[in-house]
Amino acid sequence: MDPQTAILVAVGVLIGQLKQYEQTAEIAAYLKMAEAGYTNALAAHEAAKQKVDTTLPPLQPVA
Amino acid sequence: MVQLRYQQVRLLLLTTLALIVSTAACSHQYTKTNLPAGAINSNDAQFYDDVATLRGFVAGATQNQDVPAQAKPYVNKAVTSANAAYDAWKAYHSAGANDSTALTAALVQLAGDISSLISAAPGVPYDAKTQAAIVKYQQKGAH
Repeated sequence: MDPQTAILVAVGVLIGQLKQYEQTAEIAAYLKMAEAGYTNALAAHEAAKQKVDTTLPPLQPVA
Repeated sequence: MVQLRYQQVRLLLLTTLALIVSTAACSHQYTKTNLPAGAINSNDAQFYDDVATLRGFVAGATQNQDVPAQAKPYVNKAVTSANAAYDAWKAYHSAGANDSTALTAALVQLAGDISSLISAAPGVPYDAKTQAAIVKYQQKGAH
């Protein structure tokens, strides 16, 4: 597991554990931000691991 | 389980946010351990990422029904540049990812054409990654 994956896994676990403390509006707002950021970081991380593709078709101009 | 106090939870959440931000900031740094399959080296992977990001924006613009008619020439110029940049990356990749001169020039052209497109059609959405790639190659073009 590369370091970035390890950090993302740890962050995911941490967010899961902290959800039980969602008792105030401030904590809820931080949790919402953390979850949104985590989702984006995970998606970017996964996208970066996709294979390079040498077979994409050319883009077509618009009419 | 240990019960945490409010300030401890707050501190942990702020730390979590900082970790996410730092992880996201490093997401475009390719090393030997996180190369995409098929990439020759980290430069090859990074150029592919940049081409795919900018090409993805242009592909989205061709499908966007909100692009005004007067902006279509800008879309088509960006389409031509995106296809040229992808072809330049394929040539760079198939030649062993050594000389990036032509590929960089193609990406500078594409970034400039996308910037013109965004100016002509301000409603076309783009994300932070696209914006970063545009800025990166516009700066290269300015040097």
